[in-house]
Amino acid sequence: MKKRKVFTGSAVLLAVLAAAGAIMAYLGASDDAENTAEVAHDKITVTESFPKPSDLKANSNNYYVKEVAVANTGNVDCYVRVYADFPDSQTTAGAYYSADGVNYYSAVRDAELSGDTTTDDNGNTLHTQSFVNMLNAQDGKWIFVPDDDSNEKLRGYFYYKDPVKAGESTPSLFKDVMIKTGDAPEALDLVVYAESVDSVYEDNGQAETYADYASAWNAFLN
Amino acid sequence: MDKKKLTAAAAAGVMLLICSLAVAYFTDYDTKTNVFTVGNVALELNEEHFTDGQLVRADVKLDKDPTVKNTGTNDEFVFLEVKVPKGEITLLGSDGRPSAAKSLQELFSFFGSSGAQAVSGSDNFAYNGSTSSSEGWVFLEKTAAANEDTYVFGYSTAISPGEETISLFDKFALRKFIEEEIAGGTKLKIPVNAYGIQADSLDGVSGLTESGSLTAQDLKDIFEICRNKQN
Repeated sequence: MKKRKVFTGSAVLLAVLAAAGAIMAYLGASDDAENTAEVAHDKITVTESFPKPSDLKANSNNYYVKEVAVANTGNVDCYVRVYADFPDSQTTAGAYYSADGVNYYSAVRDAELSGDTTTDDNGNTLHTQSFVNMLNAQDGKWIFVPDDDSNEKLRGYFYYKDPVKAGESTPSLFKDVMIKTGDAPEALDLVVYAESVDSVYEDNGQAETYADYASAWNAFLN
Repeated sequence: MDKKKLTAAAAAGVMLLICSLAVAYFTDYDTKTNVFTVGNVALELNEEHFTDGQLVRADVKLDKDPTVKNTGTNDEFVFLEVKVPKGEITLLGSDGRPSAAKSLQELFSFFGSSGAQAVSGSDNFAYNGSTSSSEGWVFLEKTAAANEDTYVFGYSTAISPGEETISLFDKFALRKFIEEEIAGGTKLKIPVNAYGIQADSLDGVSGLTESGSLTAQDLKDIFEICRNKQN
Protein backbone atom coordinates (compact mmCIF):
# COMPACT_ATOMS: atom_id res chain seq x y z
CA MET A 1 0.00 0.00 0.00
CA LYS A 2 2.84 2.40 0.91
CA LYS A 3 4.69 1.52 -2.31
CA ARG A 4 1.60 2.33 -4.36
CA LYS A 5 1.37 5.80 -2.73
CA VAL A 6 5.01 6.58 -3.52
CA PHE A 7 4.55 5.53 -7.12
CA THR A 8 1.39 7.58 -7.50
CA GLY A 9 3.01 10.64 -5.91
CA SER A 10 6.02 10.47 -8.22
CA ALA A 11 3.86 10.20 -11.27
CA VAL A 12 1.85 13.18 -10.20
CA LEU A 13 4.96 15.30 -9.54
CA LEU A 14 6.40 14.44 -12.95
CA ALA A 15 3.15 15.34 -14.57
CA VAL A 16 3.05 18.65 -12.75
CA LEU A 17 6.61 19.56 -13.72
CA ALA A 18 5.99 18.65 -17.34
CA ALA A 19 2.83 20.69 -17.41
CA ALA A 20 4.48 23.70 -15.78
CA GLY A 21 7.33 23.56 -18.28
CA ALA A 22 4.98 23.40 -21.19
CA ILE A 23 2.94 26.32 -19.93
CA MET A 24 5.81 28.58 -18.85
CA ALA A 25 8.14 27.90 -21.80
CA TYR A 26 10.88 30.57 -21.50
CA LEU A 27 10.46 33.44 -19.14
CA GLY A 28 10.46 36.71 -21.01
CA ALA A 29 9.50 40.35 -20.65
CA SER A 30 9.21 43.45 -22.77
CA ASP A 31 8.77 47.17 -22.43
CA ASP A 32 8.28 49.91 -24.97
CA ALA A 33 8.33 53.66 -25.44
CA GLU A 34 6.54 55.43 -28.26
CA ASN A 35 8.76 58.53 -28.33
CA THR A 36 7.29 61.40 -30.26
CA ALA A 37 9.22 64.28 -31.76
CA GLU A 38 7.66 67.24 -33.53
CA VAL A 39 9.20 68.80 -36.61
CA ALA A 40 10.04 72.42 -35.85
CA HIS A 41 8.93 75.06 -38.29
CA ASP A 42 8.68 78.81 -38.38
CA LYS A 43 5.52 79.91 -40.07
CA ILE A 44 3.91 83.31 -40.10
CA THR A 45 0.95 85.08 -41.54
CA VAL A 46 0.34 88.78 -42.11
CA THR A 47 -2.71 89.72 -40.13
CA GLU A 48 -4.45 92.75 -41.52
CA SER A 49 -7.43 94.77 -40.58
CA PHE A 50 -8.26 96.20 -43.98
CA PRO A 51 -11.91 97.04 -44.58
CA LYS A 52 -12.90 97.26 -48.23
CA PRO A 53 -11.61 100.69 -49.22
CA SER A 54 -13.78 103.36 -50.77
CA ASP A 55 -12.72 104.88 -54.10
CA LEU A 56 -10.01 107.50 -54.02
CA LYS A 57 -11.41 111.00 -54.21
CA ALA A 58 -9.65 113.65 -56.23
CA ASN A 59 -7.79 116.44 -54.44
CA SER A 60 -8.43 114.87 -51.04
CA ASN A 61 -6.74 113.25 -48.10
CA ASN A 62 -8.09 109.68 -48.36
CA TYR A 63 -7.89 107.80 -45.10
CA TYR A 64 -7.96 103.99 -44.90
CA VAL A 65 -7.69 101.54 -42.07
CA LYS A 66 -4.87 99.13 -42.77
CA GLU A 67 -3.56 97.59 -39.59
CA VAL A 68 -0.59 95.39 -40.34
CA ALA A 69 0.85 92.88 -37.88
CA VAL A 70 2.54 89.48 -38.13
CA ALA A 71 1.33 86.37 -36.33
CA ASN A 72 3.61 83.46 -35.56
CA THR A 73 1.57 80.41 -36.51
CA GLY A 74 4.49 77.96 -36.33
CA ASN A 75 5.83 76.10 -33.32
CA VAL A 76 9.12 77.94 -32.75
CA ASP A 77 9.98 81.50 -31.81
CA CYS A 78 11.05 83.46 -34.87
CA TYR A 79 12.22 86.83 -36.09
CA VAL A 80 10.06 88.59 -38.65
CA ARG A 81 10.54 91.34 -41.15
CA VAL A 82 8.03 93.16 -43.32
CA TYR A 83 8.28 94.80 -46.68
CA ALA A 84 5.70 97.54 -47.29
CA ASP A 85 5.74 99.97 -50.16
CA PHE A 86 3.73 101.69 -52.82
CA PRO A 87 4.23 100.87 -56.48
CA ASP A 88 5.94 104.08 -57.56
CA SER A 89 7.62 107.16 -56.17
CA GLN A 90 4.79 109.49 -57.25
CA THR A 91 2.25 107.59 -55.17
CA THR A 92 4.70 107.29 -52.31
CA ALA A 93 5.20 111.06 -52.29
CA GLY A 94 1.53 111.54 -51.42
CA ALA A 95 1.21 108.64 -48.98
CA TYR A 96 1.36 108.60 -45.20
CA TYR A 97 1.41 105.91 -42.54
CA SER A 98 0.03 106.24 -39.05
CA ALA A 99 0.75 104.08 -36.04
CA ASP A 100 -1.83 105.80 -33.81
CA GLY A 101 -4.56 107.00 -36.15
CA VAL A 102 -3.77 110.66 -35.47
CA ASN A 103 -0.20 111.31 -36.49
CA TYR A 104 0.54 110.55 -40.13
CA TYR A 105 4.12 110.33 -41.36
CA SER A 106 5.35 110.48 -44.90
CA ALA A 107 5.87 107.19 -46.69
CA VAL A 108 8.92 108.69 -48.40
CA ARG A 109 12.08 107.13 -47.03
CA ASP A 110 14.26 110.16 -46.79
CA ALA A 111 16.27 110.85 -43.68
CA GLU A 112 16.56 114.49 -44.64
CA LEU A 113 12.85 115.25 -44.36
CA SER A 114 12.06 117.97 -41.87
CA GLY A 115 9.90 117.69 -38.81
CA ASP A 116 7.22 120.11 -40.02
CA THR A 117 3.60 119.32 -39.30
CA THR A 118 0.22 120.47 -40.53
CA THR A 119 -3.26 119.68 -39.37
CA ASP A 120 -5.82 118.79 -41.99
CA ASP A 121 -9.60 119.17 -42.02
CA ASN A 122 -10.03 115.80 -40.29
CA GLY A 123 -7.97 116.95 -37.34
CA ASN A 124 -5.13 114.63 -38.16
CA THR A 125 -1.55 115.76 -37.95
CA LEU A 126 0.50 115.31 -41.09
CA HIS A 127 4.23 115.06 -40.57
CA THR A 128 6.69 115.69 -43.32
CA GLN A 129 9.10 113.48 -41.42
CA SER A 130 9.21 110.01 -42.88
CA PHE A 131 7.48 107.17 -41.10
CA VAL A 132 10.64 105.07 -41.09
CA ASN A 133 12.68 107.86 -39.53
CA MET A 134 10.05 108.33 -36.87
CA LEU A 135 10.15 104.59 -36.10
CA ASN A 136 13.92 104.52 -35.80
CA ALA A 137 13.97 107.66 -33.69
CA GLN A 138 11.51 106.08 -31.25
CA ASP A 139 13.80 103.07 -30.89
CA GLY A 140 10.81 100.81 -30.32
CA LYS A 141 10.34 97.16 -31.22
CA TRP A 142 9.85 97.90 -34.93
CA ILE A 143 12.81 99.29 -36.78
CA PHE A 144 13.50 100.07 -40.40
CA VAL A 145 16.83 99.38 -42.08
CA PRO A 146 17.22 102.23 -44.58
CA ASP A 147 18.26 101.84 -48.16
CA ASP A 148 21.69 103.30 -47.51
CA ASP A 149 22.49 101.16 -44.47
CA SER A 150 25.94 99.59 -44.41
CA ASN A 151 24.34 96.19 -44.00
CA GLU A 152 23.23 95.84 -47.57
CA LYS A 153 21.35 92.58 -47.14
CA LEU A 154 18.99 93.96 -44.54
CA ARG A 155 18.04 97.13 -46.39
CA GLY A 156 14.50 98.14 -47.20
CA TYR A 157 12.62 96.09 -44.60
CA PHE A 158 10.87 96.73 -41.32
CA TYR A 159 12.26 94.40 -38.63
CA TYR A 160 10.66 93.39 -35.38
CA LYS A 161 13.58 93.37 -32.99
CA ASP A 162 12.44 90.61 -30.63
CA PRO A 163 11.67 87.03 -31.51
CA VAL A 164 7.94 86.50 -31.82
CA LYS A 165 6.91 83.61 -29.64
CA ALA A 166 5.03 80.69 -31.15
CA GLY A 167 1.33 81.45 -31.16
CA GLU A 168 1.85 85.16 -30.54
CA SER A 169 1.73 88.21 -32.78
CA THR A 170 3.68 91.42 -33.19
CA PRO A 171 2.06 94.73 -32.36
CA SER A 172 0.87 96.46 -35.49
CA LEU A 173 3.51 98.10 -37.64
CA PHE A 174 1.03 100.78 -38.68
CA LYS A 175 -2.72 101.11 -38.39
CA ASP A 176 -3.82 103.58 -41.01
CA VAL A 177 -2.79 104.92 -44.37
CA MET A 178 -3.55 108.23 -45.96
CA ILE A 179 -3.29 108.92 -49.69
CA LYS A 180 -3.22 112.52 -50.80
CA THR A 181 -4.55 112.75 -54.34
CA GLY A 182 -4.42 115.21 -57.19
CA ASP A 183 -6.88 115.90 -59.99
CA ALA A 184 -7.00 112.43 -61.51
CA PRO A 185 -6.22 109.72 -58.94
CA GLU A 186 -5.55 106.19 -60.16
CA ALA A 187 -5.99 102.89 -58.42
CA LEU A 188 -2.92 101.82 -56.51
CA ASP A 189 -1.58 98.98 -54.44
CA LEU A 190 0.23 98.91 -51.17
CA VAL A 191 2.33 95.78 -51.21
CA VAL A 192 2.87 94.15 -47.82
CA TYR A 193 4.60 90.87 -47.26
CA ALA A 194 6.50 89.32 -44.39
CA GLU A 195 9.25 86.79 -43.87
CA SER A 196 10.44 84.88 -40.84
CA VAL A 197 13.52 83.10 -39.59
CA ASP A 198 13.85 80.67 -36.70
CA SER A 199 15.41 82.29 -33.65
CA VAL A 200 17.43 79.13 -33.02
CA TYR A 201 20.15 77.74 -35.24
CA GLU A 202 22.32 74.67 -35.30
CA ASP A 203 26.00 74.96 -34.49
CA ASN A 204 28.09 71.84 -34.32
CA GLY A 205 25.06 69.77 -33.44
CA GLN A 206 23.93 72.14 -30.70
CA ALA A 207 20.93 74.43 -30.68
CA GLU A 208 22.03 78.03 -30.32
CA THR A 209 19.96 81.20 -30.11
CA TYR A 210 20.72 84.19 -32.28
CA ALA A 211 21.92 87.21 -30.35
CA ASP A 212 19.53 89.60 -32.12
CA TYR A 213 17.43 90.13 -35.20
CA ALA A 214 20.37 91.37 -37.28
CA SER A 215 22.50 88.29 -36.67
CA ALA A 216 19.52 86.04 -37.41
CA TRP A 217 18.77 87.73 -40.71
CA ASN A 218 22.39 88.03 -41.72
CA ALA A 219 22.87 84.31 -41.16
CA PHE A 220 19.69 83.53 -43.06
CA LEU A 221 20.56 85.75 -45.99
CA ASN A 222 24.14 84.58 -46.32
CA MET B 1 -5.46 -1.17 -18.16
CA ASP B 2 -4.97 -2.46 -14.60
CA LYS B 3 -6.24 -0.59 -11.56
CA LYS B 4 -2.82 0.87 -10.58
CA LYS B 5 -2.24 2.54 -13.96
CA LEU B 6 -5.77 3.83 -14.05
CA THR B 7 -5.36 5.47 -10.62
CA ALA B 8 -2.04 7.12 -11.56
CA ALA B 9 -3.38 8.45 -14.86
CA ALA B 10 -6.44 9.90 -13.20
CA ALA B 11 -4.33 11.57 -10.51
CA ALA B 12 -1.98 13.05 -13.10
CA GLY B 13 -4.91 14.44 -15.04
CA VAL B 14 -6.35 16.10 -11.99
CA MET B 15 -3.00 17.68 -11.05
CA LEU B 16 -2.47 19.04 -14.55
CA LEU B 17 -5.77 20.84 -14.27
CA ILE B 18 -4.86 22.23 -10.85
CA CYS B 19 -1.46 23.38 -12.07
CA SER B 20 -2.96 25.15 -15.07
CA LEU B 21 -5.25 27.11 -12.81
CA ALA B 22 -2.45 28.00 -10.46
CA VAL B 23 -0.14 29.23 -13.24
CA ALA B 24 -2.87 31.22 -14.89
CA TYR B 25 -3.71 33.35 -11.87
CA PHE B 26 -0.87 33.00 -9.38
CA THR B 27 -3.39 33.46 -6.63
CA ASP B 28 -3.82 30.21 -4.88
CA TYR B 29 -7.13 29.24 -3.48
CA ASP B 30 -5.63 26.85 -0.99
CA THR B 31 -2.69 28.07 1.05
CA LYS B 32 -1.80 24.58 2.01
CA THR B 33 -1.01 23.59 -1.55
CA ASN B 34 2.69 23.36 -2.44
CA VAL B 35 4.09 26.62 -3.95
CA PHE B 36 6.42 26.34 -6.90
CA THR B 37 8.81 29.29 -7.22
CA VAL B 38 9.40 29.84 -10.92
CA GLY B 39 11.37 33.09 -10.72
CA ASN B 40 10.55 35.98 -13.01
CA VAL B 41 12.01 37.90 -15.90
CA ALA B 42 11.17 41.56 -15.89
CA LEU B 43 12.81 44.61 -17.37
CA GLU B 44 12.48 48.32 -17.68
CA LEU B 45 13.22 50.41 -20.73
CA ASN B 46 14.70 53.71 -19.62
CA GLU B 47 15.48 56.86 -21.54
CA GLU B 48 16.64 59.06 -18.73
CA HIS B 49 17.39 62.17 -20.76
CA PHE B 50 14.78 61.96 -23.46
CA THR B 51 11.90 64.42 -23.43
CA ASP B 52 8.84 63.21 -25.25
CA GLY B 53 7.22 65.57 -27.74
CA GLN B 54 10.13 67.97 -28.07
CA LEU B 55 10.77 69.97 -31.22
CA VAL B 56 13.36 68.68 -33.62
CA ARG B 57 15.43 70.83 -35.94
CA ALA B 58 17.76 69.68 -38.68
CA ASP B 59 21.10 68.46 -37.32
CA VAL B 60 20.40 69.68 -33.77
CA LYS B 61 21.31 66.77 -31.52
CA LEU B 62 18.91 65.98 -28.71
CA ASP B 63 19.32 63.54 -25.86
CA LYS B 64 17.95 60.06 -26.32
CA ASP B 65 19.66 57.27 -24.44
CA PRO B 66 17.74 54.00 -24.25
CA THR B 67 18.97 51.48 -21.67
CA VAL B 68 17.49 48.28 -20.32
CA LYS B 69 17.42 47.44 -16.63
CA ASN B 70 16.86 43.96 -15.29
CA THR B 71 14.10 44.34 -12.73
CA GLY B 72 13.48 40.63 -12.38
CA THR B 73 15.13 37.92 -10.33
CA ASN B 74 16.86 35.99 -13.09
CA ASP B 75 19.75 36.81 -15.36
CA GLU B 76 18.48 38.04 -18.71
CA PHE B 77 19.55 38.48 -22.28
CA VAL B 78 18.12 41.77 -23.51
CA PHE B 79 17.42 43.34 -26.88
CA LEU B 80 16.39 46.72 -28.20
CA GLU B 81 14.37 47.35 -31.31
CA VAL B 82 14.31 50.87 -32.76
CA LYS B 83 11.88 51.94 -35.46
CA VAL B 84 13.03 54.90 -37.55
CA PRO B 85 10.36 56.75 -39.57
CA LYS B 86 10.98 57.37 -43.25
CA GLY B 87 9.82 59.93 -45.78
CA GLU B 88 10.42 61.19 -49.30
CA ILE B 89 13.09 63.81 -48.74
CA THR B 90 15.99 65.51 -50.46
CA LEU B 91 18.95 65.26 -48.13
CA LEU B 92 21.15 68.35 -47.89
CA GLY B 93 24.89 68.46 -47.36
CA SER B 94 26.69 70.66 -44.87
CA ASP B 95 26.76 73.41 -47.52
CA GLY B 96 22.97 73.35 -47.65
CA ARG B 97 22.88 71.94 -51.17
CA PRO B 98 21.14 68.67 -52.11
CA SER B 99 23.48 65.75 -51.66
CA ALA B 100 21.21 63.27 -53.39
CA ALA B 101 18.01 63.14 -55.37
CA LYS B 102 14.74 63.06 -53.51
CA SER B 103 14.08 59.54 -52.30
CA LEU B 104 12.69 57.49 -49.44
CA GLN B 105 15.04 58.05 -46.51
CA GLU B 106 15.15 57.65 -42.76
CA LEU B 107 14.33 60.97 -41.13
CA PHE B 108 16.63 60.75 -38.12
CA SER B 109 20.28 60.19 -37.32
CA PHE B 110 21.54 58.52 -34.15
CA PHE B 111 24.79 59.16 -32.34
CA GLY B 112 26.68 57.18 -29.72
CA SER B 113 29.40 58.29 -27.41
CA SER B 114 33.06 58.52 -28.31
CA GLY B 115 34.09 55.41 -30.24
CA ALA B 116 30.55 54.64 -31.34
CA GLN B 117 30.18 52.12 -34.13
CA ALA B 118 28.20 52.72 -37.29
CA VAL B 119 25.66 50.22 -38.46
CA SER B 120 27.22 48.62 -41.50
CA GLY B 121 26.25 50.52 -44.64
CA SER B 122 24.52 53.30 -42.72
CA ASP B 123 25.59 56.93 -42.59
CA ASN B 124 23.00 57.93 -40.02
CA PHE B 125 22.98 55.25 -37.32
CA ALA B 126 25.82 54.94 -34.82
CA TYR B 127 25.54 53.00 -31.56
CA ASN B 128 27.54 52.11 -28.48
CA GLY B 129 28.83 48.73 -29.59
CA SER B 130 30.63 46.08 -27.60
CA THR B 131 34.36 45.66 -27.96
CA SER B 132 36.78 42.92 -27.03
CA SER B 133 37.26 44.59 -23.67
CA SER B 134 33.90 46.09 -22.88
CA GLU B 135 30.29 45.04 -23.03
CA GLY B 136 27.89 46.88 -25.24
CA TRP B 137 25.38 46.48 -27.99
CA VAL B 138 25.65 44.22 -31.02
CA PHE B 139 23.82 45.06 -34.22
CA LEU B 140 21.68 42.12 -35.29
CA GLU B 141 19.45 43.14 -38.17
CA LYS B 142 17.72 45.88 -40.08
CA THR B 143 14.43 45.38 -41.84
CA ALA B 144 12.98 47.93 -44.23
CA ALA B 145 9.34 48.82 -44.72
CA ALA B 146 7.67 51.60 -46.66
CA ASN B 147 7.25 53.94 -43.73
CA GLU B 148 9.98 52.89 -41.31
CA ASP B 149 13.15 50.88 -40.87
CA THR B 150 13.52 48.60 -37.88
CA TYR B 151 16.88 48.02 -36.22
CA VAL B 152 17.49 45.26 -33.68
CA PHE B 153 20.40 45.16 -31.26
CA GLY B 154 21.32 42.59 -28.62
CA TYR B 155 23.37 43.19 -25.51
CA SER B 156 26.68 41.38 -25.54
CA THR B 157 26.33 39.79 -22.09
CA ALA B 158 23.60 38.58 -19.80
CA ILE B 159 22.33 41.21 -17.38
CA SER B 160 22.05 40.28 -13.71
CA PRO B 161 19.09 41.32 -11.57
CA GLY B 162 19.31 45.02 -10.74
CA GLU B 163 21.90 45.73 -13.43
CA GLU B 164 21.42 48.03 -16.41
CA THR B 165 22.93 48.09 -19.88
CA ILE B 166 24.84 51.02 -21.27
CA SER B 167 22.82 53.22 -23.60
CA LEU B 168 22.27 52.03 -27.15
CA PHE B 169 22.98 55.56 -28.38
CA ASP B 170 23.06 58.95 -26.70
CA LYS B 171 21.59 61.48 -29.09
CA PHE B 172 19.45 61.79 -32.16
CA ALA B 173 18.76 64.52 -34.69
CA LEU B 174 16.42 65.25 -37.54
CA ARG B 175 18.35 64.90 -40.78
CA LYS B 176 18.83 67.96 -42.92
CA PHE B 177 16.46 68.04 -45.88
CA ILE B 178 14.50 70.57 -47.90
CA GLU B 179 12.11 72.43 -45.67
CA GLU B 180 8.51 71.31 -45.65
CA GLU B 181 9.20 68.04 -47.50
CA ILE B 182 8.03 66.77 -44.14
CA ALA B 183 5.43 69.30 -43.08
CA GLY B 184 6.36 71.45 -40.12
CA GLY B 185 4.54 70.42 -37.00
CA THR B 186 4.39 66.77 -38.04
CA LYS B 187 4.67 64.51 -35.02
CA LEU B 188 7.07 61.70 -35.78
CA LYS B 189 7.34 58.58 -33.70
CA ILE B 190 10.54 56.76 -32.93
CA PRO B 191 9.29 53.70 -31.05
CA VAL B 192 11.80 51.77 -28.98
CA ASN B 193 10.96 48.29 -27.73
CA ALA B 194 12.95 46.29 -25.21
CA TYR B 195 12.83 42.52 -24.92
CA GLY B 196 14.32 40.20 -22.34
CA ILE B 197 14.51 36.47 -21.91
CA GLN B 198 15.92 34.25 -19.21
CA ALA B 199 19.63 33.70 -19.63
CA ASP B 200 19.70 30.23 -18.10
CA SER B 201 18.68 26.96 -19.73
CA LEU B 202 17.96 28.26 -23.19
CA ASP B 203 17.49 25.16 -25.29
CA GLY B 204 17.91 25.51 -29.01
CA VAL B 205 20.85 27.91 -28.76
CA SER B 206 23.97 25.82 -28.84
CA GLY B 207 27.38 26.78 -27.58
CA LEU B 208 26.34 29.52 -25.17
CA THR B 209 29.09 30.30 -22.71
CA GLU B 210 28.34 30.48 -19.03
CA SER B 211 29.71 34.00 -18.89
CA GLY B 212 31.33 36.53 -21.16
CA SER B 213 30.28 37.96 -24.48
CA LEU B 214 27.85 36.43 -26.88
CA THR B 215 28.42 36.33 -30.59
CA ALA B 216 26.10 38.10 -32.97
CA GLN B 217 24.85 34.70 -34.10
CA ASP B 218 24.10 33.67 -30.49
CA LEU B 219 22.13 36.85 -30.01
CA LYS B 220 20.27 36.42 -33.28
CA ASP B 221 19.27 32.91 -32.25
CA ILE B 222 18.13 34.09 -28.84
CA PHE B 223 16.23 37.03 -30.29
CA GLU B 224 14.47 34.64 -32.61
CA ILE B 225 13.17 32.83 -29.52
CA CYS B 226 12.10 36.18 -28.08
CA ARG B 227 10.36 37.11 -31.29
CA ASN B 228 8.55 33.79 -31.47
CA LYS B 229 7.47 34.23 -27.89
CA GLN B 230 6.01 37.64 -28.72
CA ASN B 231 4.13 36.35 -31.79
